[in-house]
Amino acid sequence: MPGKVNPTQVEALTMIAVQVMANDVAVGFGGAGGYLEMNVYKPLMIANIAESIAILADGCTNFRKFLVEGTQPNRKKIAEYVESSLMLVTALAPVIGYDKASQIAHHAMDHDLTLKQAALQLGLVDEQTFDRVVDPAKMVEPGVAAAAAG
Amino acid sequence: MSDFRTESDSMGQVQIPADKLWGAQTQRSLEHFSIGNDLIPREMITAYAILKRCAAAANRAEGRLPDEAHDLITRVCDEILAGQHHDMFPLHVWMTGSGTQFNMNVNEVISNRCCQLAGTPLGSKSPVHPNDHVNMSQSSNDSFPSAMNIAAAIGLQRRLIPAVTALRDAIAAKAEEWREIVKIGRTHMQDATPLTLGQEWSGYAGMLTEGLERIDDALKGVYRLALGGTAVGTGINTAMGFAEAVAAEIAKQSGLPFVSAPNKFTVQGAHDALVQLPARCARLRSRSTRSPMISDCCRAGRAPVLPNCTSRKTNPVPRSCRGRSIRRRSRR
Repeated sequence: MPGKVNPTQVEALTMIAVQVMANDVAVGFGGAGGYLEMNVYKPLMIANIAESIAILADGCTNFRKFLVEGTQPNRKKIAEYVESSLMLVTALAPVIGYDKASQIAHHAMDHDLTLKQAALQLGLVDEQTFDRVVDPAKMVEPGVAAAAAG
Repeated sequence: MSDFRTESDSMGQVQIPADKLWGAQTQRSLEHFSIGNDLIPREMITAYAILKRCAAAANRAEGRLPDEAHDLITRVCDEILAGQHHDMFPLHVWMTGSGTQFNMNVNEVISNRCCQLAGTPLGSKSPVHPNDHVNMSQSSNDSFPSAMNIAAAIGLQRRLIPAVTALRDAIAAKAEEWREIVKIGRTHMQDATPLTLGQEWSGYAGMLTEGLERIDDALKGVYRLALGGTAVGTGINTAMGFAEAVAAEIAKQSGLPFVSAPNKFTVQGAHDALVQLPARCARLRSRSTRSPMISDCCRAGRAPVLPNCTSRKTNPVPRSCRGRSIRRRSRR
């Protein structure tokens, strides 16, 4: 597919994760397998430990260099999704109550409305209160919106 | 010149390729245990070179090892540490469970390289004998587990911890950069309440920090060396004080805080410090797997979740992908 770019670093790192967890199982069995004065699974143990360290270290380095450091947020999309999310209704719960807030969310979903359109259509909250309370930037830290207009 | 030379050990004579530095016991292992493709990890070559160099220093200090043998062993170990002779360690993982054949591989290669430097024939075991000099005061049973610990500690300190720390710092830098960007949080893969992208990524950085703390805790046991315990932990055929002296030498040589294990029976009968290492790594892994998987989901194109982020050179997400209608479908 022309122009297709896949999340290949992610796939490499998640495969490494599986291998490291599998190595852990081998080392665990090996460690449990000593007889009397000496453990006799030592080459198995160090082979798996060394591989885990090596692939984990290289995997982290590549993941950082070729993915994390170049990652940029798609601010436009992020804003669109925040604005269209019906779950912003959560902020209204302390103001109009959980049941009415649910009612607004379901009404918006069933009639393909924005949250605000649904809220005003149902008459469960006035526009001024809605705009004051349903502010995503205020919803990212502890706090409860008050019912009174402020 | 013949293509083979004859060397002998306690079981008799063995033919060895003339250009190889290993001896009879290594050759026997090659013939009986060439299984699969996995060789003893290369990290063990370096760890054993440190160990043999430090054992020679401790033995000379006690007056047990002649100066000439000490100097030659030191020189050869330095060559190995500089990356030479690594092709002289051909043995496979699937050998004796004690690792004895690999210890003998190391002893034989050092002995024969000393012969080369001293101008004596390969296999002459003079002026440096593989058992009497290179393996002096040691047994495979205390040297192999000690080399395992040295290899693991060096790998963690020089390789894994710096790599994870750099990844953690890179993620933390993004968290700081994006601390004001409000996005929709998700639980059960569905919309929940908002958080900032910076808050989300600070969580990933914190998971890696916790993983690093666990590895640091696990290292304490890895620094305890079995050397000085010899065959079964009693220390037969080793001098008083050797265990502490060789651990101190290894600490000096490696720059890592190795000590002599307080109980040699413990560290020869079991390797619990090493057992928990990959578990700690796995834990770290299960943590850091979360972040890639999550970012994978969040940057998927038309697929179910959300194109929140793009990585370098990746395509913008198609506009036609309206998150809300997709969420409605997935709800039903």
